[in-house]
Amino acid sequence: MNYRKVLTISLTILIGLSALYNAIYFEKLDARKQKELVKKFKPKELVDYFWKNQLSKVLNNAISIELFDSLVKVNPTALAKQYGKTVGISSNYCVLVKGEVNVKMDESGDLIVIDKGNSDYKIVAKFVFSNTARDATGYFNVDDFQNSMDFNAISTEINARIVKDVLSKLASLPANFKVRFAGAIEYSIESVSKSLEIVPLKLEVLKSE
Amino acid sequence: MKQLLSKILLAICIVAFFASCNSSKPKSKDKIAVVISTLNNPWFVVLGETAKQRATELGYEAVIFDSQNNPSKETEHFDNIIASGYKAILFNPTDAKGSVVNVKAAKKAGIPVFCMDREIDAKDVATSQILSDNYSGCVALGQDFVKKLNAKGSYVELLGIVGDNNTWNRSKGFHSVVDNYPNLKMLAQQSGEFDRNKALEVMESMLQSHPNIDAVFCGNDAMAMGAYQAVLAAGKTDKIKIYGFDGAADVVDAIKAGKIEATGMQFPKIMAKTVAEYADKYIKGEHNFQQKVPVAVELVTKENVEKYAPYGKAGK
Repeated sequence: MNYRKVLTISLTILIGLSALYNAIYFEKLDARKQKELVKKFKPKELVDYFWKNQLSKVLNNAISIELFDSLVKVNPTALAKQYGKTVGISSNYCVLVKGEVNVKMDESGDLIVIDKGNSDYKIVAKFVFSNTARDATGYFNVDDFQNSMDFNAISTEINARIVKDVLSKLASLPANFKVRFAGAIEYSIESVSKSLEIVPLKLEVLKSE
Repeated sequence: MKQLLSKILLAICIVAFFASCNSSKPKSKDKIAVVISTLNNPWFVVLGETAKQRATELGYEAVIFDSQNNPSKETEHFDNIIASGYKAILFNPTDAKGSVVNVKAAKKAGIPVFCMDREIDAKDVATSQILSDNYSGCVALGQDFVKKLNAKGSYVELLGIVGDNNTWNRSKGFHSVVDNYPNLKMLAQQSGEFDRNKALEVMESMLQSHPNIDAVFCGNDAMAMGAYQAVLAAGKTDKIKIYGFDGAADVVDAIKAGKIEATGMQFPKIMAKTVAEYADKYIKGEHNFQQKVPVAVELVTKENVEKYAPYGKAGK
Protein backbone atom coordinates (compact mmCIF):
# COMPACT_ATOMS: atom_id res chain seq x y z
CA MET A 1 0.00 0.00 0.00
CA ASN A 2 2.78 2.37 0.98
CA TYR A 3 4.60 1.39 -2.15
CA ARG A 4 1.59 2.36 -4.30
CA LYS A 5 1.24 5.66 -2.47
CA VAL A 6 4.92 6.54 -2.99
CA LEU A 7 4.61 5.62 -6.67
CA THR A 8 1.49 7.79 -7.12
CA ILE A 9 3.12 10.78 -5.40
CA SER A 10 6.33 10.32 -7.42
CA LEU A 11 4.41 10.14 -10.69
CA THR A 12 2.36 13.22 -9.78
CA ILE A 13 5.54 15.17 -8.98
CA LEU A 14 7.16 13.96 -12.20
CA ILE A 15 4.16 14.98 -14.32
CA GLY A 16 3.99 18.33 -12.50
CA LEU A 17 7.69 19.03 -13.05
CA SER A 18 7.43 18.00 -16.68
CA ALA A 19 4.45 20.35 -17.23
CA LEU A 20 6.35 23.15 -15.47
CA TYR A 21 9.50 22.51 -17.51
CA ASN A 22 7.54 22.75 -20.76
CA ALA A 23 5.63 25.82 -19.61
CA ILE A 24 8.66 27.86 -18.58
CA TYR A 25 11.66 28.67 -20.71
CA PHE A 26 14.41 31.22 -20.50
CA GLU A 27 15.43 33.52 -23.30
CA LYS A 28 17.80 36.45 -23.46
CA LEU A 29 15.99 39.79 -23.46
CA ASP A 30 17.97 40.91 -26.52
CA ALA A 31 16.92 37.86 -28.49
CA ARG A 32 13.29 38.25 -27.39
CA LYS A 33 13.20 41.92 -28.38
CA GLN A 34 14.75 41.17 -31.75
CA LYS A 35 12.27 38.36 -32.44
CA GLU A 36 9.36 40.68 -31.68
CA LEU A 37 10.69 43.37 -34.02
CA VAL A 38 11.24 40.84 -36.81
CA LYS A 39 7.75 39.42 -36.29
CA LYS A 40 6.12 42.86 -36.51
CA PHE A 41 8.54 43.65 -39.34
CA LYS A 42 9.30 47.28 -38.88
CA PRO A 43 12.70 47.47 -40.60
CA LYS A 44 13.50 50.95 -39.34
CA GLU A 45 12.78 50.02 -35.70
CA LEU A 46 14.69 46.77 -36.06
CA VAL A 47 17.75 48.58 -37.42
CA ASP A 48 17.40 51.32 -34.75
CA TYR A 49 17.45 48.63 -32.08
CA PHE A 50 20.45 46.93 -33.69
CA TRP A 51 22.31 50.22 -34.07
CA LYS A 52 21.78 51.32 -30.46
CA ASN A 53 22.10 48.02 -28.63
CA GLN A 54 24.01 45.51 -30.72
CA LEU A 55 26.39 47.26 -33.11
CA SER A 56 29.18 47.83 -30.55
CA LYS A 57 29.09 44.17 -29.50
CA VAL A 58 29.18 43.06 -33.13
CA LEU A 59 32.11 45.36 -33.92
CA ASN A 60 34.15 43.72 -31.15
CA ASN A 61 34.58 40.86 -33.63
CA ALA A 62 36.29 43.10 -36.21
CA ILE A 63 39.86 42.18 -37.12
CA SER A 64 42.55 44.78 -37.77
CA ILE A 65 42.92 45.99 -41.34
CA GLU A 66 46.58 44.96 -41.18
CA LEU A 67 45.63 41.37 -40.32
CA PHE A 68 42.99 41.34 -43.06
CA ASP A 69 45.50 42.71 -45.56
CA SER A 70 48.12 40.09 -44.77
CA LEU A 71 45.65 37.18 -44.80
CA VAL A 72 43.77 38.16 -47.94
CA LYS A 73 47.02 38.26 -49.92
CA VAL A 74 48.22 34.87 -48.69
CA ASN A 75 45.10 32.75 -48.38
CA PRO A 76 41.72 34.42 -49.01
CA THR A 77 39.85 31.13 -48.54
CA ALA A 78 41.31 30.56 -45.07
CA LEU A 79 40.51 34.18 -44.18
CA ALA A 80 36.90 33.65 -45.28
CA LYS A 81 36.65 30.42 -43.32
CA GLN A 82 37.95 32.00 -40.12
CA TYR A 83 36.48 35.50 -40.21
CA GLY A 84 34.14 35.72 -43.22
CA LYS A 85 30.38 35.55 -43.43
CA THR A 86 28.16 34.67 -46.37
CA VAL A 87 24.41 34.19 -46.41
CA GLY A 88 23.96 31.48 -49.04
CA ILE A 89 25.88 29.99 -51.96
CA SER A 90 28.52 32.49 -53.00
CA SER A 91 32.24 32.95 -53.50
CA ASN A 92 31.85 36.40 -51.91
CA TYR A 93 32.53 36.78 -48.19
CA CYS A 94 32.07 39.74 -45.86
CA VAL A 95 34.54 40.50 -43.06
CA LEU A 96 34.45 43.11 -40.29
CA VAL A 97 37.66 45.14 -40.08
CA LYS A 98 38.92 48.04 -37.98
CA GLY A 99 41.91 50.35 -37.87
CA GLU A 100 43.43 53.82 -37.70
CA VAL A 101 44.54 55.09 -41.07
CA ASN A 102 45.59 58.21 -42.93
CA VAL A 103 43.16 59.07 -45.67
CA LYS A 104 42.53 61.58 -48.40
CA MET A 105 39.48 62.52 -50.41
CA ASP A 106 39.15 60.87 -53.82
CA GLU A 107 38.56 63.35 -56.65
CA SER A 108 35.05 61.95 -57.23
CA GLY A 109 34.12 62.72 -53.64
CA ASP A 110 32.62 59.25 -53.38
CA LEU A 111 35.54 57.55 -51.74
CA ILE A 112 38.40 58.10 -49.38
CA VAL A 113 41.66 56.45 -50.32
CA ILE A 114 43.67 55.04 -47.46
CA ASP A 115 47.27 56.06 -47.81
CA LYS A 116 48.80 52.97 -46.25
CA GLY A 117 51.88 51.49 -47.87
CA ASN A 118 51.07 49.69 -51.08
CA SER A 119 47.56 48.75 -50.02
CA ASP A 120 44.62 49.92 -52.05
CA TYR A 121 41.64 50.24 -49.75
CA LYS A 122 38.88 52.76 -50.06
CA ILE A 123 36.33 53.79 -47.47
CA VAL A 124 32.93 54.40 -49.01
CA ALA A 125 32.21 58.03 -48.26
CA LYS A 126 29.19 59.17 -50.24
CA PHE A 127 26.68 56.42 -51.02
CA VAL A 128 26.33 52.95 -49.52
CA PHE A 129 24.79 50.17 -51.61
CA SER A 130 24.54 46.38 -51.41
CA ASN A 131 24.20 43.93 -48.52
CA THR A 132 27.84 44.09 -47.40
CA ALA A 133 27.22 45.83 -44.05
CA ARG A 134 24.20 43.66 -43.16
CA ASP A 135 25.93 40.40 -44.03
CA ALA A 136 29.26 41.23 -42.38
CA THR A 137 27.55 41.80 -39.03
CA GLY A 138 26.20 38.24 -39.08
CA TYR A 139 23.40 39.54 -36.85
CA PHE A 140 20.43 39.11 -39.20
CA ASN A 141 19.25 35.65 -40.23
CA VAL A 142 17.49 35.37 -43.59
CA ASP A 143 15.27 32.58 -42.24
CA ASP A 144 13.70 34.98 -39.72
CA PHE A 145 12.14 37.07 -42.47
CA GLN A 146 8.92 36.40 -44.37
CA ASN A 147 10.58 36.95 -47.75
CA SER A 148 13.78 38.20 -49.33
CA MET A 149 12.31 41.67 -49.92
CA ASP A 150 11.95 42.11 -46.15
CA PHE A 151 15.51 40.86 -45.66
CA ASN A 152 16.76 43.35 -48.26
CA ALA A 153 14.81 46.14 -46.56
CA ILE A 154 17.18 45.64 -43.61
CA SER A 155 20.12 46.47 -45.89
CA THR A 156 18.35 49.57 -47.16
CA GLU A 157 17.82 50.78 -43.58
CA ILE A 158 21.36 49.97 -42.43
CA ASN A 159 22.83 51.71 -45.48
CA ALA A 160 20.64 54.78 -44.85
CA ARG A 161 21.77 54.78 -41.21
CA ILE A 162 25.42 54.68 -42.28
CA VAL A 163 24.92 57.67 -44.57
CA LYS A 164 23.09 59.60 -41.83
CA ASP A 165 25.20 58.74 -38.78
CA VAL A 166 28.63 57.89 -40.13
CA LEU A 167 29.28 59.58 -43.46
CA SER A 168 27.79 62.90 -42.38
CA LYS A 169 30.90 63.36 -40.21
CA LEU A 170 32.98 63.64 -43.34
CA ALA A 171 31.59 66.96 -44.54
CA SER A 172 33.95 69.96 -44.70
CA LEU A 173 37.22 68.20 -43.98
CA PRO A 174 40.72 69.06 -45.22
CA ALA A 175 42.40 67.15 -48.01
CA ASN A 176 44.27 64.74 -45.74
CA PHE A 177 43.30 63.44 -42.33
CA LYS A 178 43.35 60.43 -40.04
CA VAL A 179 40.38 58.27 -39.05
CA ARG A 180 39.63 55.47 -36.64
CA PHE A 181 37.05 53.18 -38.21
CA ALA A 182 35.28 49.84 -38.08
CA GLY A 183 33.49 48.55 -41.14
CA ALA A 184 32.74 45.78 -43.59
CA ILE A 185 34.69 44.50 -46.60
CA GLU A 186 33.27 42.15 -49.22
CA TYR A 187 35.63 40.15 -51.43
CA SER A 188 35.56 37.12 -53.70
CA ILE A 189 37.71 34.14 -52.77
CA GLU A 190 37.92 33.28 -56.49
CA SER A 191 39.51 36.57 -57.48
CA VAL A 192 40.41 39.22 -54.91
CA SER A 193 39.96 42.69 -56.37
CA LYS A 194 43.00 44.98 -56.30
CA SER A 195 40.82 47.76 -54.93
CA LEU A 196 38.69 46.78 -51.92
CA GLU A 197 35.92 48.94 -50.52
CA ILE A 198 35.25 49.36 -46.81
CA VAL A 199 31.69 50.19 -45.79
CA PRO A 200 32.13 52.10 -42.50
CA LEU A 201 29.84 51.22 -39.60
CA LYS A 202 31.71 53.48 -37.18
CA LEU A 203 34.07 56.30 -37.99
CA GLU A 204 35.90 58.92 -35.98
CA VAL A 205 37.96 61.72 -37.49
CA LEU A 206 41.13 61.94 -35.38
CA LYS A 207 43.17 64.81 -36.83
CA SER A 208 44.28 66.61 -39.93
CA GLU A 209 47.65 65.59 -41.26
CA MET B 1 24.00 -26.54 -31.42
CA LYS B 2 21.32 -26.70 -34.11
CA GLN B 3 19.21 -24.28 -32.09
CA LEU B 4 22.13 -21.87 -31.72
CA LEU B 5 22.78 -21.95 -35.49
CA SER B 6 19.10 -21.25 -36.18
CA LYS B 7 19.19 -18.25 -33.83
CA ILE B 8 22.34 -16.88 -35.50
CA LEU B 9 20.74 -17.27 -38.96
CA LEU B 10 17.58 -15.56 -37.74
CA ALA B 11 19.64 -12.67 -36.33
CA ILE B 12 21.49 -12.31 -39.66
CA CYS B 13 18.17 -12.27 -41.54
CA ILE B 14 16.78 -9.55 -39.21
CA VAL B 15 19.93 -7.41 -39.60
CA ALA B 16 19.85 -7.87 -43.39
CA PHE B 17 16.18 -6.88 -43.49
CA PHE B 18 16.75 -3.65 -41.55
CA ALA B 19 19.89 -2.88 -43.55
CA SER B 20 17.89 -3.12 -46.78
CA CYS B 21 15.24 -0.81 -45.29
CA ASN B 22 17.92 1.83 -44.56
CA SER B 23 19.62 1.47 -47.90
CA SER B 24 20.68 4.88 -49.22
CA LYS B 25 19.60 3.99 -52.77
CA PRO B 26 16.10 5.22 -53.58
CA LYS B 27 13.54 2.65 -54.69
CA SER B 28 13.21 2.57 -58.47
CA LYS B 29 9.59 3.68 -58.28
CA ASP B 30 10.33 6.86 -56.26
CA LYS B 31 9.26 9.87 -58.30
CA ILE B 32 10.22 13.55 -58.09
CA ALA B 33 8.11 16.27 -59.73
CA VAL B 34 9.75 19.31 -61.31
CA VAL B 35 7.14 22.08 -61.60
CA ILE B 36 8.30 25.03 -63.71
CA SER B 37 6.51 28.39 -64.05
CA THR B 38 6.95 28.46 -67.84
CA LEU B 39 8.91 26.57 -70.46
CA ASN B 40 8.38 29.42 -72.91
CA ASN B 41 11.68 30.96 -71.76
CA PRO B 42 14.98 29.13 -72.39
CA TRP B 43 16.27 30.10 -68.94
CA PHE B 44 13.50 28.12 -67.24
CA VAL B 45 14.04 25.21 -69.62
CA VAL B 46 17.65 25.04 -68.37
CA LEU B 47 16.41 25.24 -64.76
CA GLY B 48 13.86 22.44 -65.25
CA GLU B 49 16.04 20.15 -67.34
CA THR B 50 18.99 20.46 -64.93
CA ALA B 51 16.76 19.64 -61.94
CA LYS B 52 15.35 16.64 -63.80
CA GLN B 53 18.79 15.46 -64.87
CA ARG B 54 20.23 15.69 -61.34
CA ALA B 55 17.21 13.90 -59.82
CA THR B 56 17.59 11.16 -62.45
CA GLU B 57 21.31 10.84 -61.66
CA LEU B 58 20.35 10.38 -58.02
CA GLY B 59 18.13 7.43 -59.00
CA TYR B 60 14.66 8.94 -59.22
CA GLU B 61 12.06 9.07 -61.96
CA ALA B 62 11.73 12.81 -62.58
CA VAL B 63 8.85 14.41 -64.49
CA ILE B 64 8.63 18.06 -65.60
CA PHE B 65 5.30 19.96 -65.35
CA ASP B 66 4.88 23.27 -67.22
CA SER B 67 2.60 25.77 -65.41
CA GLN B 68 2.59 28.11 -68.44
CA ASN B 69 2.76 31.10 -66.05
CA ASN B 70 -0.79 30.22 -65.02
CA PRO B 71 -1.50 29.74 -61.28
CA SER B 72 -4.61 27.58 -62.02
CA LYS B 73 -2.53 25.27 -64.19
CA GLU B 74 0.00 25.07 -61.36
CA THR B 75 -2.74 24.06 -58.88
CA GLU B 76 -3.88 21.32 -61.27
CA HIS B 77 -0.31 20.01 -61.41
CA PHE B 78 -0.07 19.96 -57.61
CA ASP B 79 -3.39 18.09 -57.34
CA ASN B 80 -2.11 15.44 -59.76
CA ILE B 81 1.29 15.22 -58.08
CA ILE B 82 -0.25 14.76 -54.63
CA ALA B 83 -2.63 12.08 -55.95
CA SER B 84 0.16 10.27 -57.79
CA GLY B 85 2.44 9.62 -54.80
CA TYR B 86 5.45 11.75 -55.71
CA LYS B 87 8.16 11.85 -53.02
CA ALA B 88 9.22 15.50 -53.50
CA ILE B 89 8.50 18.58 -55.59
CA LEU B 90 11.21 20.81 -57.08
CA PHE B 91 9.24 23.96 -57.58
CA ASN B 92 9.57 27.17 -59.58
CA PRO B 93 6.40 29.11 -58.59
CA THR B 94 4.23 31.30 -60.80
CA ASP B 95 3.25 33.73 -58.02
CA ALA B 96 4.88 34.57 -54.67
CA LYS B 97 1.56 34.78 -52.84
CA GLY B 98 -0.76 32.68 -55.03
CA SER B 99 1.52 29.63 -55.01
CA VAL B 100 1.61 29.39 -51.20
CA VAL B 101 -1.68 27.46 -51.12
CA ASN B 102 -0.23 24.77 -53.43
CA VAL B 103 2.86 24.34 -51.29
CA LYS B 104 0.67 24.10 -48.17
CA ALA B 105 -1.43 21.36 -49.82
CA ALA B 106 1.71 19.38 -50.66
CA LYS B 107 3.04 19.84 -47.13
CA LYS B 108 -0.26 18.62 -45.70
CA ALA B 109 0.06 15.54 -47.90
CA GLY B 110 3.57 14.95 -46.53
CA ILE B 111 5.38 15.92 -49.75
CA PRO B 112 8.36 18.26 -49.26
CA VAL B 113 8.60 21.23 -51.63
CA PHE B 114 11.92 22.83 -52.57
CA CYS B 115 11.57 26.19 -54.33
CA MET B 116 14.13 27.24 -56.89
CA ASP B 117 14.79 30.70 -58.31
CA ARG B 118 11.35 32.14 -57.50
CA GLU B 119 10.21 32.61 -53.93
CA ILE B 120 6.93 31.97 -52.16
CA ASP B 121 5.86 34.61 -49.69
CA ALA B 122 5.75 32.38 -46.60
CA LYS B 123 8.05 30.99 -43.93
CA ASP B 124 8.14 27.36 -42.85
CA VAL B 125 5.89 26.10 -45.65
CA ALA B 126 8.43 25.09 -48.27
CA THR B 127 11.19 22.83 -46.93
CA SER B 128 13.81 25.14 -48.43
CA GLN B 129 14.05 27.91 -51.03
CA ILE B 130 17.15 28.34 -53.18
CA LEU B 131 16.98 31.82 -54.67
CA SER B 132 19.17 34.17 -56.65
CA ASP B 133 20.34 37.20 -54.69
CA ASN B 134 18.47 39.47 -57.10
CA TYR B 135 18.85 42.60 -55.00
CA SER B 136 22.66 42.48 -54.81
CA GLY B 137 22.86 41.51 -58.49
CA CYS B 138 20.86 44.58 -59.45
CA VAL B 139 22.89 46.83 -57.15
CA ALA B 140 25.93 45.83 -59.24
CA LEU B 141 23.98 46.44 -62.47
CA GLY B 142 22.82 49.83 -61.12
CA GLN B 143 26.40 50.85 -60.36
CA ASP B 144 27.50 49.90 -63.89
CA PHE B 145 24.47 51.74 -65.30
CA VAL B 146 25.43 54.95 -63.46
CA LYS B 147 29.06 54.63 -64.56
CA LYS B 148 28.28 53.99 -68.25
CA LEU B 149 25.77 56.86 -68.38
CA ASN B 150 28.11 59.21 -66.48
CA ALA B 151 25.32 59.64 -63.90
CA LYS B 152 23.08 61.55 -66.31
CA GLY B 153 20.40 60.85 -68.90
CA SER B 154 16.89 59.48 -69.36
CA TYR B 155 15.89 55.87 -69.03
CA VAL B 156 12.93 53.50 -68.96
CA GLU B 157 12.38 50.32 -66.99
CA LEU B 158 10.72 47.08 -68.05
CA LEU B 159 9.47 45.26 -64.96
CA GLY B 160 8.80 41.53 -64.75
CA ILE B 161 5.59 39.88 -63.53
CA VAL B 162 4.09 42.20 -60.92
CA GLY B 163 3.16 39.35 -58.53
CA ASP B 164 6.66 37.91 -58.46
CA ASN B 165 9.06 38.92 -55.67
CA ASN B 166 12.01 38.68 -58.08
CA THR B 167 10.52 41.58 -60.06
CA TRP B 168 10.62 43.88 -57.04
CA ASN B 169 13.92 42.66 -55.58
CA ARG B 170 15.54 43.45 -58.94
CA SER B 171 13.83 46.81 -59.35
CA LYS B 172 14.57 47.84 -55.75
CA GLY B 173 18.23 46.79 -55.99
CA PHE B 174 18.61 48.84 -59.18
CA HIS B 175 16.80 51.89 -57.78
CA SER B 176 18.74 51.73 -54.49
CA VAL B 177 21.66 52.93 -56.62
CA VAL B 178 20.31 55.03 -59.50
CA ASP B 179 17.83 57.04 -57.42
CA ASN B 180 20.79 58.70 -55.67
CA TYR B 181 21.70 60.48 -58.91
CA PRO B 182 19.26 63.32 -59.64
CA ASN B 183 20.44 63.73 -63.22
CA LEU B 184 19.27 60.23 -64.07
CA LYS B 185 15.60 60.54 -64.93
CA MET B 186 13.18 57.63 -65.28
CA LEU B 187 10.70 58.45 -68.08
CA ALA B 188 8.50 55.34 -67.80
CA GLN B 189 8.20 52.06 -65.92
CA GLN B 190 5.98 49.28 -67.23
CA SER B 191 5.65 45.51 -66.96
CA GLY B 192 6.90 43.37 -69.83
CA GLU B 193 5.84 40.28 -67.84
CA PHE B 194 9.28 38.66 -68.24
CA ASP B 195 8.23 37.95 -71.84
CA ARG B 196 10.18 38.80 -74.99
CA ASN B 197 7.19 39.57 -77.21
CA LYS B 198 5.43 41.61 -74.56
CA ALA B 199 8.66 43.57 -73.93
CA LEU B 200 9.03 44.26 -77.66
CA GLU B 201 5.50 45.64 -77.73
CA VAL B 202 5.98 47.79 -74.59
CA MET B 203 9.36 49.11 -75.74
CA GLU B 204 7.97 50.08 -79.17
CA SER B 205 5.30 52.10 -77.43
CA MET B 206 7.84 53.69 -75.04
CA LEU B 207 10.09 54.66 -77.96
CA GLN B 208 7.17 56.43 -79.63
CA SER B 209 6.22 58.31 -76.44
CA HIS B 210 9.80 59.16 -75.42
CA PRO B 211 12.16 59.80 -78.32
CA ASN B 212 15.05 60.77 -75.99
CA ILE B 213 15.70 57.47 -74.17
CA ASP B 214 19.37 56.82 -73.32
CA ALA B 215 19.00 53.43 -71.62
CA VAL B 216 16.57 50.69 -70.68
CA PHE B 217 16.78 48.51 -67.59
CA CYS B 218 15.01 45.16 -68.06
CA GLY B 219 14.08 42.74 -65.27
CA ASN B 220 15.23 39.73 -67.30
CA ASP B 221 17.13 38.80 -70.43
CA ALA B 222 14.09 37.76 -72.47
CA MET B 223 12.76 41.31 -72.07
CA ALA B 224 16.23 42.73 -72.86
CA MET B 225 16.17 40.85 -76.18
CA GLY B 226 12.63 42.10 -76.86
CA ALA B 227 13.76 45.65 -76.05
CA TYR B 228 16.78 45.22 -78.34
CA GLN B 229 14.51 44.21 -81.25
CA ALA B 230 12.42 47.36 -80.73
CA VAL B 231 15.53 49.56 -80.47
CA LEU B 232 17.00 47.92 -83.59
CA ALA B 233 13.78 48.54 -85.52
CA ALA B 234 13.87 52.19 -84.40
CA GLY B 235 17.49 52.50 -85.60
CA LYS B 236 18.74 53.56 -82.15
CA THR B 237 21.16 50.79 -81.19
CA ASP B 238 24.07 53.25 -81.03
CA LYS B 239 22.23 55.57 -78.65
CA ILE B 240 20.31 53.31 -76.24
CA LYS B 241 22.11 51.09 -73.72
CA ILE B 242 20.24 47.92 -72.77
CA TYR B 243 20.57 46.09 -69.46
CA GLY B 244 19.20 42.62 -68.72
CA PHE B 245 19.25 40.05 -65.96
CA ASP B 246 19.67 36.24 -66.13
CA GLY B 247 22.76 35.33 -68.16
CA ALA B 248 20.82 33.69 -71.01
CA ALA B 249 22.70 32.41 -74.08
CA ASP B 250 21.48 35.05 -76.54
CA VAL B 251 22.28 37.91 -74.14
CA VAL B 252 25.79 36.61 -73.36
CA ASP B 253 26.38 36.54 -77.14
CA ALA B 254 24.81 40.01 -77.50
CA ILE B 255 27.13 41.41 -74.81
CA LYS B 256 30.13 39.99 -76.72
CA ALA B 257 28.79 41.66 -79.89
CA GLY B 258 28.23 44.97 -78.09
CA LYS B 259 24.44 44.87 -78.58
CA ILE B 260 23.56 44.59 -74.89
CA GLU B 261 25.48 46.52 -72.22
CA ALA B 262 25.34 44.13 -69.26
CA THR B 263 23.40 41.41 -67.47
CA GLY B 264 23.33 39.80 -64.04
CA MET B 265 24.50 36.21 -64.28
CA GLN B 266 22.28 33.90 -62.29
CA PHE B 267 23.27 30.31 -61.84
CA PRO B 268 20.18 28.20 -62.67
CA LYS B 269 22.22 24.99 -62.87
CA ILE B 270 23.55 25.48 -59.32
CA MET B 271 20.05 26.21 -58.00
CA ALA B 272 18.50 23.23 -59.81
CA LYS B 273 21.21 20.79 -58.73
CA THR B 274 21.03 22.01 -55.14
CA VAL B 275 17.25 21.50 -54.85
CA ALA B 276 17.50 18.00 -56.36
CA GLU B 277 20.23 17.10 -53.85
CA TYR B 278 18.22 18.58 -50.96
CA ALA B 279 15.19 16.51 -52.01
CA ASP B 280 17.34 13.37 -52.13
CA LYS B 281 18.67 14.10 -48.62
CA TYR B 282 15.12 14.71 -47.36
CA ILE B 283 13.86 11.41 -48.79
CA LYS B 284 16.80 9.67 -47.10
CA GLY B 285 15.84 11.11 -43.71
CA GLU B 286 17.54 14.50 -43.28
CA HIS B 287 14.92 17.10 -42.44
CA ASN B 288 16.88 20.17 -41.31
CA PHE B 289 17.50 22.66 -44.10
CA GLN B 290 18.16 26.39 -44.18
CA GLN B 291 14.82 27.97 -45.14
CA LYS B 292 16.24 30.52 -47.59
CA VAL B 293 19.49 30.04 -49.45
CA PRO B 294 20.46 33.05 -51.60
CA VAL B 295 22.76 32.32 -54.55
CA ALA B 296 25.12 35.14 -55.62
CA VAL B 297 24.52 36.93 -58.93
CA GLU B 298 27.50 38.29 -60.88
CA LEU B 299 27.76 41.32 -63.16
CA VAL B 300 28.60 40.46 -66.79
CA THR B 301 29.83 43.23 -69.09
CA LYS B 302 31.90 43.37 -72.27
CA GLU B 303 35.00 43.67 -70.05
CA ASN B 304 34.54 40.29 -68.31
CA VAL B 305 32.14 38.34 -70.58
CA GLU B 306 34.88 35.89 -71.60
CA LYS B 307 34.78 34.43 -68.07
CA TYR B 308 31.15 33.43 -68.58
CA ALA B 309 29.12 30.99 -70.64
CA PRO B 310 25.32 30.91 -70.96
CA TYR B 311 23.75 30.23 -67.54
CA GLY B 312 27.06 30.11 -65.66
CA LYS B 313 30.81 30.42 -65.75
CA ALA B 314 32.95 29.38 -68.73
CA GLY B 315 34.37 25.88 -68.39
CA LYS B 316 32.04 24.86 -65.54
